[in-house]
Amino acid sequence: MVVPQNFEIVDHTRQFILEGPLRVLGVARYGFLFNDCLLICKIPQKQGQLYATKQLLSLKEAFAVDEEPGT
Amino acid sequence: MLKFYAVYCSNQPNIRARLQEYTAENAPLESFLKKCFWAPQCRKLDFESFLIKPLQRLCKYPLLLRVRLCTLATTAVAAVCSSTLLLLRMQELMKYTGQEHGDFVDLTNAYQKIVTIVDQVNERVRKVENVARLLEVSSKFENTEVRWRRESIYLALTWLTLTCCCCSYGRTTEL
Repeated sequence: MVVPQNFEIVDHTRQFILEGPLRVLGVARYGFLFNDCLLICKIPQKQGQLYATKQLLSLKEAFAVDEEPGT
Repeated sequence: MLKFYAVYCSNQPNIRARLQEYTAENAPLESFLKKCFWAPQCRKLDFESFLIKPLQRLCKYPLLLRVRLCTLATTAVAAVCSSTLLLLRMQELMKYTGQEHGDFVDLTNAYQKIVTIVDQVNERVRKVENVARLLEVSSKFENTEVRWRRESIYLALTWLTLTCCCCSYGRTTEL
């Protein structure tokens, strides 16, 4: 889902887990994983630029699917 | 008194930055602190060294009490302190202290209380560090709505303060 306008990272119940590059439907993105959500961002073009948020994935509603490679 | 340790110690990580800020803005304060540093009573310890003393002391209490308890009764403490190291230490200390002692109950209570306080402090520090980490992460985003706002920090820190106070008064329900 698109990041809601009222979404705020700083929350006393939220914990930061890790960050790193990932691929979303073949597109290179950068993710920030928290205990309750995954924030998917566009990778900055230049070093030092800030991340533009693209999608917010709520872990409460998410589920994992095992797929064979190439399917 | 001990409940204030939780609040005080959780602010410990901010002390250095705040002190630098104050001394940079206030030349007389900086000069006064330097003067104190060289005073014989301060034994060449700077102001920051004194500010961390309560935290250091708090960490020493359980160790002190545990050692003292170990000297009082081997069998009673064995149920609480099961580590081999402590048992060995107890045996060593038992040479010098008898098993029966009138202070045993008070010391046990003191030990349990201080352990609770230390746990609270650790938990609060962990939460404050978590908020600080979230602030750090949020500063990496260009979207203004995602980045931190003053109200968010205020609410997060207020929650921590209220939680801490409630814990201190024996309530464990979260706000």
